[in-house]
Amino acid sequence: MRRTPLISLFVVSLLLTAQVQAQAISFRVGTLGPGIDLSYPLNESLNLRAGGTYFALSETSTFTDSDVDVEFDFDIKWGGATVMLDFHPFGGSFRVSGGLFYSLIEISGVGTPTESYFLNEGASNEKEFLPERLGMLSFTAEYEQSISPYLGIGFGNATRGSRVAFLFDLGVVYTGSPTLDMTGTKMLAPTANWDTRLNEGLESFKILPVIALGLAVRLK
Amino acid sequence: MMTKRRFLSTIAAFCMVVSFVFAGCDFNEAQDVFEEFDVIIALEEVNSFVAITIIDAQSQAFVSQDVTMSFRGDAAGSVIDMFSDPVSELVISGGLGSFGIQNSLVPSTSNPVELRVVVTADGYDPGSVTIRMEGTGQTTVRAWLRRHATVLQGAVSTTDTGGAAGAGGVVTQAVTAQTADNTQNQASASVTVAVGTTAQTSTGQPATGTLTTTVNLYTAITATTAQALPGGYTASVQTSTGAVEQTAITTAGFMSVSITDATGNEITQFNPPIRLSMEIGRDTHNRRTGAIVQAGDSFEVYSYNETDGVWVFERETTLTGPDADGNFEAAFLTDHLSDWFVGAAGNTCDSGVFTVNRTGNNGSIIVSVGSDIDGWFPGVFVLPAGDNTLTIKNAPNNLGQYFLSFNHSGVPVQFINGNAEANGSICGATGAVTLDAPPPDLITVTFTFDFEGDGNPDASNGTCAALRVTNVPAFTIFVKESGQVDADARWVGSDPVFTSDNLQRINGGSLVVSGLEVGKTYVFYSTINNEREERSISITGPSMLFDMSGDVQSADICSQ
Repeated sequence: MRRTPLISLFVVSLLLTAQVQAQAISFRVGTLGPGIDLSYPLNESLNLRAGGTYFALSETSTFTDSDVDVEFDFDIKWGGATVMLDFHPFGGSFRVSGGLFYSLIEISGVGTPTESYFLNEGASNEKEFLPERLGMLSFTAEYEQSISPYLGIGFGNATRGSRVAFLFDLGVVYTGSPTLDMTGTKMLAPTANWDTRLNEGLESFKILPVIALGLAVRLK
Repeated sequence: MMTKRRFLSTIAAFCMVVSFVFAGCDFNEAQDVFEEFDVIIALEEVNSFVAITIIDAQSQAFVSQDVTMSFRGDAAGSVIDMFSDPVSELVISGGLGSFGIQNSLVPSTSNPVELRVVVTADGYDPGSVTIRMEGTGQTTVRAWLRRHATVLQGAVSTTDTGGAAGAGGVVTQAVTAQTADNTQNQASASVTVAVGTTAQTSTGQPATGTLTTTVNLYTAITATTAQALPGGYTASVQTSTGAVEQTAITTAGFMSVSITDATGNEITQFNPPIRLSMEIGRDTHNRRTGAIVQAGDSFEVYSYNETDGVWVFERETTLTGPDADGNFEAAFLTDHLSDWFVGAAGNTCDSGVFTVNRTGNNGSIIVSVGSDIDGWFPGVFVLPAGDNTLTIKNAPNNLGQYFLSFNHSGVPVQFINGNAEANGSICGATGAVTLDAPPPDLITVTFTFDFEGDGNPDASNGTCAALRVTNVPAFTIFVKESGQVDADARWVGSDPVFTSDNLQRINGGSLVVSGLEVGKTYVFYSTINNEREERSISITGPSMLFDMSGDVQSADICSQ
């Protein structure tokens, strides 16, 4: 696992809120990853919030198949930038949040066979294809819709009340269906045609659930 | 109180929205799809491939023994098998085979791919075929093999045991072997090995004991014997400069000579040279002079290098005669034995365009071309369905006569301009060919491939979904009418006839064959991985099934 590049996201958030003189900074961790927000009160019940989340992960996993096992090296990039309005309808910590989410989510992988493929294995005319002869597979999954609307509820007001506030968010991002692109080389090339079928399986997954916990610190 | 109610209502409404949205996510579908995912391993497509039929020159049937194909020439290193693995030789069974050319080579008219295939089989003299590919797709070639111990019909042969060799391989009793006159033009051939000649094997081992000499003469005036010429009439020829080139040859006649000693060793080296001679038919046309042969004419003499499949220029010879039959003798000295032909090579040209009026003969048509009096029989090739023009390329120039014949479904349909042949050179020649209309009960049949059956290990899936390849490189299908000789089999399809499912796994396909007669039985030959499959099908109508289960099993392209 790599260290998350929170510093870069922080810079993004800082730029977004620089014009509005942020009055609070908050730290969240949730289904969009760890992140930082800067908040500015627009009036007594409305805060402007900008920030971002991000984490990256590299992982290796073996896909077991009846023909050949394929070892995939995954790269997961998860998170995005947000611009939100937090509306506190009752003046307390409860809020309704809405805004835009700029997705940086991308899962990619490269797979190579870990073993030979034997045609007619065990027979007199057995034919072995070495892993390097078989080729490789690669895929990328991401949301084609890079900017998506967010709607959620939450607790905690970063700009009012106590100097330190606990935050809770529950919401959804309407991302549209993720898109999976596969490519293959050499003898594995036709495997890439699975992406059409796999995308059919992902078709109904058009929202991304958001659950996050955080801590806000008022700066002024 | 009111605030709390509104608060709870807001949360409840939001949760309902979230639940509603999540309800639209089909987790079961996603799970099914990802569990269904598996790895597809496909043979790589081969863009250019060769289908080769190996014909017994005597029986005109496919050679039933295993045949070893060895590849020579510039493109030999690019030959691949159906698995796209480079190969230097392939063994085919059943006389029908195929191989591919690496996709890195893209044949075209401006950049043709040339190679030759040396074919050997137990009981047969080695043969070869020269291949020139001017485009991608399939190239179909044939090679005729002569049985070693059988005199080819139409040839004359003699075996003599009068010679003998003593110490050091020195001939102590002369060899004088001469064939009888053949029935076509009363020509004969002979070999003479004088006393005192040192005779050895190719490795320098001296001959010993009785020398058994066999001489065969093949006239070049009939196609049946002329087809037995190793390498065919578009051959690889090593010129006097040593360069090997593909070119057309014409033969005034060719002969084979073999001598074995008492131990069975082939004796091929002689010092001083021995004398060979063959008679050239009195009606033979001399391309050099443009006239019928006469005494004093010069012809080229070539010997056959069976290892490389190349005709090697040896020398020129001058005709003498005529003899009592009116024939002329071409005699020459040589220090080695092989097959020999007297004739000419090179100096080629293209014909003009012959237009073919098919008159309803819509399928592929076998075209034969040649020249009886010049000794030129390049064999047959296929005019594909839909193609109405014909150009004969790389033909010998200055022919005295040529013929074109069109054979559809085994029945000669007509000759050019209504005649079997035309006098004069083929260079630039044009003409219009009107084919006879096919019999009314000739139909075009669409065969649907059936992968089910006992031979298919995944027959329960109905469409052989277990096939783990998306294509079968160099797959090819030939057909002939039952009762015809195998040499009449015509190519009717290859790999593109297959269809695939959405994951590009072969799941069926169809084959359209025209010129089949309802009620008659046809034999279909296919080859996958150089294993010949055949099935007989009686034609019942325009839509039929084509059982592929046996092919699939033999090719081992289904998951086991």
